[in-house]
Amino acid sequence: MSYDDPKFTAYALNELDANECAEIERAILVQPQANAEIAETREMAGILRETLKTETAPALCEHHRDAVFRAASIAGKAANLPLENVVVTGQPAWWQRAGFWQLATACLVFAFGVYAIGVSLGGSGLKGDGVVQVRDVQKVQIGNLAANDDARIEADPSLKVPMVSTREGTPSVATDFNATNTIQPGVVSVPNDLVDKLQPIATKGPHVVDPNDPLASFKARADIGKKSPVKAIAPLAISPHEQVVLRADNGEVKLTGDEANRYFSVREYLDVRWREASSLHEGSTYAELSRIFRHESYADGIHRFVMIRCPSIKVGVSFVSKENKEPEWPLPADTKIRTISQPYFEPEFGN
Amino acid sequence: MTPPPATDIRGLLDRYERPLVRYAQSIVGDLESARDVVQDAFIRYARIISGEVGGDDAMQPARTTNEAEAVSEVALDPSDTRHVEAWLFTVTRNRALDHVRKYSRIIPMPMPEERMSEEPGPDEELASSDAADWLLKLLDALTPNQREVIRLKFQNDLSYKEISDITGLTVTNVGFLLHVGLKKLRTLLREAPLDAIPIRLRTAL
Repeated sequence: MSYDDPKFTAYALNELDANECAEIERAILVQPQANAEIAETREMAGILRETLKTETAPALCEHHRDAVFRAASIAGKAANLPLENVVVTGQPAWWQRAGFWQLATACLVFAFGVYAIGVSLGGSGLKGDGVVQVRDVQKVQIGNLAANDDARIEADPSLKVPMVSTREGTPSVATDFNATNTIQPGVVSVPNDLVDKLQPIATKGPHVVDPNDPLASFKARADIGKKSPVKAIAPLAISPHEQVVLRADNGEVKLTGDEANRYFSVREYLDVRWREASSLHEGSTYAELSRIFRHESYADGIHRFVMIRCPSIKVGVSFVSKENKEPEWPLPADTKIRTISQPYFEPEFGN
Repeated sequence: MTPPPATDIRGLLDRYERPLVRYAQSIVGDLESARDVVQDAFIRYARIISGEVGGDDAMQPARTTNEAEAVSEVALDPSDTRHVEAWLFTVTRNRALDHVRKYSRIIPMPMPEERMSEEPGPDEELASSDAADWLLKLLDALTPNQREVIRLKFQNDLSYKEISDITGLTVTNVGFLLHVGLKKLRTLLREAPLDAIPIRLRTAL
């Protein structure tokens, strides 16, 4: 056996059993240089252990941990299994934090009813501390719904329901939202394929997006106004066997848990993308921009930059032109940004 | 340090979130995506130990069209704390690879060769006096799977067998990659001008 055999490395790293160690030790006797190799391997291993462990190891953010605790809590209770140290308290969800409901309340024009009806888990109910009790409650009424022309659907602040997705790991079907694995109290948006179902029960109106805080306005209210289809927002948490019923005076639409969960868009995901977009500034290069945004040009000469990972987020950009003429796309990688707008949010569901 | 019980989600988070985020980041590249990946792994874990979903399903190999890349399924065994650690690494890895596959279709990642040609290699970075930074740059000269097994072995103190379970590589292959990777690192160290090597690393020559 040559001392260049991987077994010598395994020996140096204490990965061999007694028989294999004996074999290596016999080989060392006839290959003295093997000892030096083993010593060098151990030295290198020691340095790697020491230095690699100093590499930054970031923690999860609070909202990630909250999501885990919520999932653990709801799953544990569903199975009647008390998970240790799983207490969902303290950190309020985004829609429970100060400021959010002042905005929401101001926008609230009518009440909205959502019923979460447990089926095979024996029902769903709510208790304090943000923990969903999934036993012994048959129905939860979140509110009442009566619509008028400028009505908006609002999340109910009294509801504390963690979201449980049956599709974690699988992106949302909505092309503009990617609910990748992030399970958070959030919003349910109703995309085009459900609009037909929902239109008969809702009035219509313009969708309002605050350009200064599109994410906040998006999550805080969904208009069911005159022009756009229904966009319902509610802090729904649907276990796989539950059902959500959106109700109005003249009809209702039932969504199964699985179906409803596909339409959760996730604030945290958007926040991440938002921060990513906001990292660009005047003086950033076209290459830096292109890592985050895709250039799109249209026949009428309009150019747009659409966020690659969240096409609903866009920015307006002008560039420093060396020759003071219309640029040719794609621009040279080192072209500097002259001005860049605040990223704005343009929901793509609905018409 | 004694690993936390399998049902102690908070303890498991405290113990493993940082190593897992660091590991995921080494695969997906950006921190926020790495956090999403790790969060998902923990949620999956919580739901499995509560019996809400099956463990076999959770250990589905990284989805890929290339059958040869698929790793074998391993069910979660909560009674074995070492296994819980390996399971978390495995699911994190699979989810991270999913993420990379998904986004690499949109944002082409440079091939290692291209990146090496564009970025300063170890020889050009000898001025760095920080051993850790210097060593991390050396690691860039290795192949991705050599880097990965070295990280799992020396950064996370996992055994060949555990690395094999996590990566789907055979134990022999793990040993080979570590052997070649370590040898290459030593060669790179030898080839670098002595006065440019951080003092701490000179002892390995």
